[in-house]
Amino acid sequence: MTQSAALWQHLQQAGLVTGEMPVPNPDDQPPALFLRVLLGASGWLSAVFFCVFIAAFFVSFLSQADTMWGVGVVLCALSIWISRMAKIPLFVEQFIFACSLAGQVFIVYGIWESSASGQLAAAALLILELILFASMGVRSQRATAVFLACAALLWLLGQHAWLYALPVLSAAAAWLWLNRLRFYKGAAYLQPATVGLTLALCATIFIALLANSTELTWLRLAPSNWHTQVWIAAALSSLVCLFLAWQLIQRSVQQPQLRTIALLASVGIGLINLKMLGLAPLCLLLCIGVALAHTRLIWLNLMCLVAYLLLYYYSLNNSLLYKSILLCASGVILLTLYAVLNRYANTLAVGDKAHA
Amino acid sequence: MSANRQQILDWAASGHLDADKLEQALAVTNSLPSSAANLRFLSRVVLAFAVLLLCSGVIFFFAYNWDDLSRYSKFALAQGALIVSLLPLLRINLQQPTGQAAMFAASLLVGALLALVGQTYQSGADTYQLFLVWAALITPWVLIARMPALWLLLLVLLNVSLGLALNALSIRHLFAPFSNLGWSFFALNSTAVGLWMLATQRLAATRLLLWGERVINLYSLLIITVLAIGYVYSWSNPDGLTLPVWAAFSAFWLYLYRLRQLDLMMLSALVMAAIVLTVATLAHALSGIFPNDGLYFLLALLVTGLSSAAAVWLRKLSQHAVLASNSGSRS
Repeated sequence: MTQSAALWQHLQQAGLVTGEMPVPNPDDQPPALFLRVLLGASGWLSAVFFCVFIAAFFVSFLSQADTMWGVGVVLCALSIWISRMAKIPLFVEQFIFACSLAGQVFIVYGIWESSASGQLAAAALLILELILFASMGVRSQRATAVFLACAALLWLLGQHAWLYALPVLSAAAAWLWLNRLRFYKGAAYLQPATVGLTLALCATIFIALLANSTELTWLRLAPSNWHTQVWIAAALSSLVCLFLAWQLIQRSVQQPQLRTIALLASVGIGLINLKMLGLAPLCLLLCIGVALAHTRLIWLNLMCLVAYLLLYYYSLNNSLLYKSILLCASGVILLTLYAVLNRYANTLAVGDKAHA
Repeated sequence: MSANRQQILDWAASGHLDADKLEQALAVTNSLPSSAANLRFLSRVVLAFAVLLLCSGVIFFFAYNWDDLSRYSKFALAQGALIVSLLPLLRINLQQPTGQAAMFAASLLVGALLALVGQTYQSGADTYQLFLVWAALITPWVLIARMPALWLLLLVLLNVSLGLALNALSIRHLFAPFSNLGWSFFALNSTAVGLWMLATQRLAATRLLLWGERVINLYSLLIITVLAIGYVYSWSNPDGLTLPVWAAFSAFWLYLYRLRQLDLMMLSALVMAAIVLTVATLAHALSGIFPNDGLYFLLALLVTGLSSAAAVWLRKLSQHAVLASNSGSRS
């Protein structure tokens, strides 16, 4: 008996499935990560060439901005129409990805040129991405659409409020990850949305971190009250993350003592987040990834955390001695946390063995 | 466990398992890791960050070059930190996470101590000799510990040392037909791959070992592909063996990851490198022949076509591998 058959039988005995085990159709399997990376990278590359081709071919035609976005609309409509066909070959799927990206560039550039208003172009991009998300038949396109929609939203909010997108994105991404299994029925739309929001959240955190450094002051909301704005955004994201962390703790941590420690650690990270904006959402997503055993989410957040810490300490406008003390103190706190976690991990493992 | 989890998710996605019962199905079949496993993983992540932060703190401290501290106090501090980092090894096995973290911290702190020597005696804290001596001093530990992270640290130190040495010694080119300086990095890293494989062939194939090999091999592929693209775009370049070496390296890569042990991720990296090189070569070769607009359209189609063909090939390989493993488990 194969492993799948044994698993099916197990589920049957638990009354969760009925009938014969479905025969797997290799074509129905979603592409593996290595394939998605390959196809995604080549899709973007061919989109660049396709954009340049259209710009070069219609050079005289595209001198008028309104015709430029007209070409973009045609390209996007074409890609939507093809993507909704029942079974499309991989080549066509890749080609419409390139077509759609090229179309989006033309639409946004055309509107930007004709109106000379960044806000209008951002609003157009946001609406366009929402339409693409709802109408595209390819999952990777939907994730890209959500990511670009978030970028448009940040652009639209402008220097007045883009920082406040961070707590909103944190709440949306973490909530969707937490309820990933619960809403599996809508996976075709919710999973790409989750991926797009997570990537947008990571990008926003890094933009906020860079904006906090002295190198990129032009990104600041309002130079006079920048620190107050950062503090409010940090406090909001801490609250959101604490609330969602409590939900995660209730679901995943059974031991009362361990639950208290997890809650204390969450409050601690929430407080540190007031000084290190973006740390709490990254830690929360890492913990959700561990609870769901979602390897890609874990690795994404680990890499983001390493990059975040490097950038944060690098951009601190303090002496090396101050940075050194801060780093050593953080290290000692983490070592203490390691000792506590390791102790409980061993206790739980012993309990599991005894239970088995 | 992860295979079961994926299988259940696939059944839920195809509608054979009611999505409302998904969480229950995962719980009933123990397809999610236990709390102990989760906690152990998180504790290791915390330990890794703790070691990195502490070592960075020590390095930053010496970089501050505090005038109020005498040189003897500084040396005492640096050596004290090194000894403290090694202390856990008196009680803990090197194979345990704490032991490995202690060994990694000690290897980093050797660098801090050498930088202090360079700072104190005005020989410089960023010379190639420093990184070379650092690499040499930690080599015995690397050999004893057999830790992928330490191997990678050693390789990073050698790469940095090589880069600084080429700059410091004003070496602008090597000998023909390998005159580009990139060849020295390629030689260093491809040798490291070979040594890595020799050293680890008798060890149990863990994920970390696999990733260590992948990282070094991918870096070597990146170097040789950049060299090949550079060669294509400057035909006067005397490195006539660049493309044959790229082809030989690709053949070796195919042998490693197609014939010896199927690794689809590495094959897809090779395919991506081949697509980029092909596109760069054709773009250069056809730029005078085709009009610009036609050339770009051709390149867009070429990238799409090549990547789709590669994806079909990789998908077939993946399906064959799944079928083979299924029939293996049946028998």
